[in-house]
Amino acid sequence: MPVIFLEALFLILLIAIAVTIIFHKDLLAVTIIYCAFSFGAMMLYIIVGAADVAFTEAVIGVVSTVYFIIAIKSISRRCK
Amino acid sequence: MNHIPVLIILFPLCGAVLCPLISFLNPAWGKRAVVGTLFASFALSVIQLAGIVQTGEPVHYWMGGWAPPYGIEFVIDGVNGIIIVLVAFIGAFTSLFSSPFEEANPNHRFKSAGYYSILCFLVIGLLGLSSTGDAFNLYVFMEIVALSGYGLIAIGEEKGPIAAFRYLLTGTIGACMYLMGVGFLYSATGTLNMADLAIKLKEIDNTHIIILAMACMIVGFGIKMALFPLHGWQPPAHSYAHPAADPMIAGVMIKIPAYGMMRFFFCIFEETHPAAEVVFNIIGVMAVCGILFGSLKALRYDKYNKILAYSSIGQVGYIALGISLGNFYGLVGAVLHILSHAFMKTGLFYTSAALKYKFGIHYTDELGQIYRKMPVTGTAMVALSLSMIGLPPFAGFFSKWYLALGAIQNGQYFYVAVLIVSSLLSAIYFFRIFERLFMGEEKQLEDHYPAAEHGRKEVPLRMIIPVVIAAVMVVLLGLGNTFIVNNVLEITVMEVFLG
Amino acid sequence: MDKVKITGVIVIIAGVILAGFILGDFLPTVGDATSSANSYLSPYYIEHALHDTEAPNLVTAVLADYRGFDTLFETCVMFLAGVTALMVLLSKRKIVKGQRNPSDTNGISFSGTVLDTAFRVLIPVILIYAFYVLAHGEISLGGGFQAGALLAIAYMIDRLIPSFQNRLGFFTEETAAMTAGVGVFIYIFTGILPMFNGGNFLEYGKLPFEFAVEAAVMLHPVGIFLIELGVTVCVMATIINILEVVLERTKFDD
Repeated sequence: MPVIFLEALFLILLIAIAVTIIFHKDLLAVTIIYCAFSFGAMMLYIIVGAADVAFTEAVIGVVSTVYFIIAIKSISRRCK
Repeated sequence: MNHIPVLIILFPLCGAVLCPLISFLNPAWGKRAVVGTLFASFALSVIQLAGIVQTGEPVHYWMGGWAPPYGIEFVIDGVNGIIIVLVAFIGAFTSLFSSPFEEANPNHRFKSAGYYSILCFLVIGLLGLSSTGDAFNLYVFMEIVALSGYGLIAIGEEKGPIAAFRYLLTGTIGACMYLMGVGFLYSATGTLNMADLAIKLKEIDNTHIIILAMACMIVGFGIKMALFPLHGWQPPAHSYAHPAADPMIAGVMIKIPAYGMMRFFFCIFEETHPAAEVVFNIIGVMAVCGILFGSLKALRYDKYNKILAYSSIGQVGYIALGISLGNFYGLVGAVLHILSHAFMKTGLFYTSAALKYKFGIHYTDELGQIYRKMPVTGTAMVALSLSMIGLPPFAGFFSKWYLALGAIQNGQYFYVAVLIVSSLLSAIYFFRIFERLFMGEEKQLEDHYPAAEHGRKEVPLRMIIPVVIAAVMVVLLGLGNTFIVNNVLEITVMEVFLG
Repeated sequence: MDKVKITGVIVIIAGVILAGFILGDFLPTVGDATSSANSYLSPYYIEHALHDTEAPNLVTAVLADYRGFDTLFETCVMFLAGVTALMVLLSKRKIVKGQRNPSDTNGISFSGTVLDTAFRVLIPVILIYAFYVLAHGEISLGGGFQAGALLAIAYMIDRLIPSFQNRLGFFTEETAAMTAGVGVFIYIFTGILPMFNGGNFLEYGKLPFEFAVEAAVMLHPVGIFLIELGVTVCVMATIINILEVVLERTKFDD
């Protein structure tokens, strides 16, 4: 199917994830959704043809999610 | 030696990067490595400036041997050369100044090594920002300056991390806007080299993208130099930074992005573009609001650092005023104000750090009769404050004079009125400091550096020397300003910016 | 409405305005071969990069050879991030740093039978893949940043699963910061070597390794490999540094 549909799908996914991250209250769930954001960005980089950047984003997405989870373990999981 | 442009950056870079390793083996040598390399860099920058003034031609250095626009180049002309000498000078003396604050402690080997590393990277980033001739390389150096700024502010006083976090958020937005501007310019012209951009921008006929890029640049550089509506991060950041690094942050770190803005608006975007007039008017409005806001807000506070921070917002407004005037005297005034205000503000923050070191003074009402116990610092404070107000023969008067000449040349008498009003306002808050200094009652303060142990010196020698040098340079710049303007600035500003 | 919601609404409105700008007709379409962005520098790189640098991967050729100076300072930014994180920790640390217990993960435990067994297999594979990515950075996807991050991920897994007996881990925060500095210094040193031989900074064609290669242009892959090695060491050490800082910070109760 034409690439434009895939690109539109991932762009809408990114916007939806971003809105959810701002307004959701459970911090651990927000961290996992942030990992999905990284995945969506990686797919967009592949669609526009930047394969090296996509590889780097995949690896760094893992690293930053681990940092956030460790940081959240020490503070409360709910935010007001 | 044609490698000087890159050696100026390479010596401190090796020092900063190896400092943690050397400190692991011997704590004092890491510190000495950084100070030594910064002084070497200052010496090389003076040699470079002498070479440029002699031959009269800009120096080009191609990284990796690739010709621009395929590779990155460094371009050093007259204005650049002066700013590089200024940054290296203040960087070297600030690193010397901070050694009593960061005594090498064998239990915490890393603490002083990390501080010196971050300070050295701040100097490297500012040197690179001024030297580079490539738009994306400027972004990378701006990131180094910002990141070291966040670090030095976060290790400061009690509210340091919060101030650093606020600076981090706004600074990242500023860098993003600059990067978007570079992205738009690249999509319109296909090149990133500044000289090449200047040539190609004249040929394209799509003006929307140029206007959008100009707007992004104003916001990007405006956040970095704390121009009026984008200044929110600056007062807490400058008042709560690490006391020994504050002179570098407040004196130099906000001026070099102003030089970057000058580079972009006068060398790359052409001044005869139809949108240029609107853009300069917008910068002028922001500058005037900043000058009045900074001077008025400084009257409210009693904390010494906060007064100086708000006065910095006003002073950056002067530089932006010079940019918005766009004519010869305006630009000469702006460059001269960068030089003189760097020494004035740095000197005032040196005295503030000396007061904190010896007596722990943060507020101006604790300053009573301090000149008896710290005569050199007191004299320097008086000299530098008089220069900030703008009295001859100090340097502050002459830079405001050139800005007023530029405003008259353009026929905008409103700017002259703003200059006079703001000088009067800064006289109010500085004279209030003088009143407390000379006629306040003496407070009982705990002496951290007692004269009984250390002889007649009021603070360590490594701290007195930079204070004295800043005050002396302000006087010298004031007395010698005709020499500087006639022999160096006139020729270079004419050629670089308006040619 | 609290501050976060207001910020969210402002961001969404700004995004809509920006999207309106982007849809206006002044940005060229992606992949347009006649746009000015694609017709000045890109054809030069496509035609000459293989001949000049002997690196089939054009991204690595531009990143590490034509614009290697930018990559040096990006690596410095990573080093600076690690040192800054460490300095912020050190200025707030209230506990006395005593003997380090290698199996102490500060109360964060991710163990369990599935994780233990799976990661015994995964760690060696990740390590081998990391070295593959480093060595093949010039030919296919890869390079220094990815390799360094993969090595650090292997270290992270080993550090966070507390029931492993043999630990790969021997880094403290300060040791990691020093190693990052050494990594950047390897990069700088590779750049300084040509200056002794008559070239500019980072000019790989004048590296003094003429005896080891058959043609002068084959020095470029040597130079690229050395700087990627420096970048790998720096990135790995910085990620480990920040991991140790975050783990240490979870011990505080403020």
